[in-house]
Amino acid sequence: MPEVDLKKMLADAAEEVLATMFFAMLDEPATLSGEALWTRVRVGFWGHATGALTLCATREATAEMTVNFLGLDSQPPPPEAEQKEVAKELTNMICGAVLSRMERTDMLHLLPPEVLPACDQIAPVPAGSQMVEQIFGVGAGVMHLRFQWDGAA
Amino acid sequence: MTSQVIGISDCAVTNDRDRSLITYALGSCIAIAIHDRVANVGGMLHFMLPDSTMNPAKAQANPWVFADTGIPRLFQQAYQCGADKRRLSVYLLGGAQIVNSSDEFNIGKRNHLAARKILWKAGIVVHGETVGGNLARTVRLEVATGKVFWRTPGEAEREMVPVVKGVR
Amino acid sequence: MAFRVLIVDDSPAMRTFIRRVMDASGFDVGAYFQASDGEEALELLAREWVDVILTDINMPRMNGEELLRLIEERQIEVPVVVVSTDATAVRVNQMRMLGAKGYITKPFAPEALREELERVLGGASA
Repeated sequence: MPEVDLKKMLADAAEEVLATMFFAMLDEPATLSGEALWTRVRVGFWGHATGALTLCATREATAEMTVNFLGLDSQPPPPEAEQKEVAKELTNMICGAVLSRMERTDMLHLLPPEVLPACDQIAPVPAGSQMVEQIFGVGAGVMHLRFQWDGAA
Repeated sequence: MTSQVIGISDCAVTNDRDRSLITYALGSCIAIAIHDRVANVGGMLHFMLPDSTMNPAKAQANPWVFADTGIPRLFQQAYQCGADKRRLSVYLLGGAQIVNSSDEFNIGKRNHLAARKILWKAGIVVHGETVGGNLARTVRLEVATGKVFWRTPGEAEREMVPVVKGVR
Repeated sequence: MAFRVLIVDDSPAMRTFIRRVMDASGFDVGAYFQASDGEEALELLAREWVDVILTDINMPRMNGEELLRLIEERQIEVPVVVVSTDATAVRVNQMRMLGAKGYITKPFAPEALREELERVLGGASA
């Protein structure tokens, strides 16, 4: 599958999930510069293709998405544990939405979302990996998505 | 039957069975139509922008301009007329992106999402919506029946029916 | 009639979302039960009766497919609505063949879940 198609699928999937259940718009951020990637979640998948979707988001983006999803007041910010759970489900849904858009007849096989340690920058792409990325502004924060796979896609 | 026109950044709530609430030229704006069939209370808000923090002074002068100041007030007025939150049917209409307008921020979509976010936070699930597209809508709520009708330029009027999204 | 609802999903956030939809939609729910996978759901069903089950598919220990199989096998006559990211036709057909009465794919608008539950429960909301 051409990379440009998959990159658009990733954007469309994220937009659909964010609009439908998080009532949020995806904006073009300027850059991801210096903000701590407070939330990092990885959802692996296997079957027709094997790979993972990794979501990284700043503190502001994570808090906003949590507040929107659960219908909470924005102040005080929701507990950290609750924000991580929402981020896990968000990543799970975006991964499922991307895979459902790919031309496939298999059932989806997603692994449980895995929370990764926070970091300061996006990890470089491993050599030989196929992947597409998108960076979006979400509210006052930023969200980065990386979809990588091995094998047919 | 009398028609009461709701303008841009305007709102009305009534329990007059002989009245229809109508709003025109819904471009990127959103109309929220609500109705309690038991208390026979109908209301309609036509708001223009999603977020009053952009311009608090404007919101102070006219709360109907913004989703976050207008929507709660619409519902409060309906409750004051005897409406019950659990009985209210709620429809969203509008949020178009009009061709040839300078709308690089897609205000229509932002308005739509702002309305949904506010309703969700208030524990309200909409019964249907017709949003987006490139054409301005006209919306009419019949207070006697609770029926909501809409049309686009040159087209016949259609009745709102629940629109189900998310079920593939 | 007050419904007793079992929500099965390994995401506590999604369980909360589903519960909010039901509360906001006017369903008269007398009790909510929650389970984080199929195994926990079956343990609960052994001691409580419910009127409807909403279940995810991909869950640890026991997934939704296995849960549905065992519900049918044990003749637990409760309608099951699947709530899953898997929108593929093969999965939807599989779950319906296993006895699911409803199926809704994530992401879903709150009203979509209400509509599906109303259909399965026979127009039970206010």
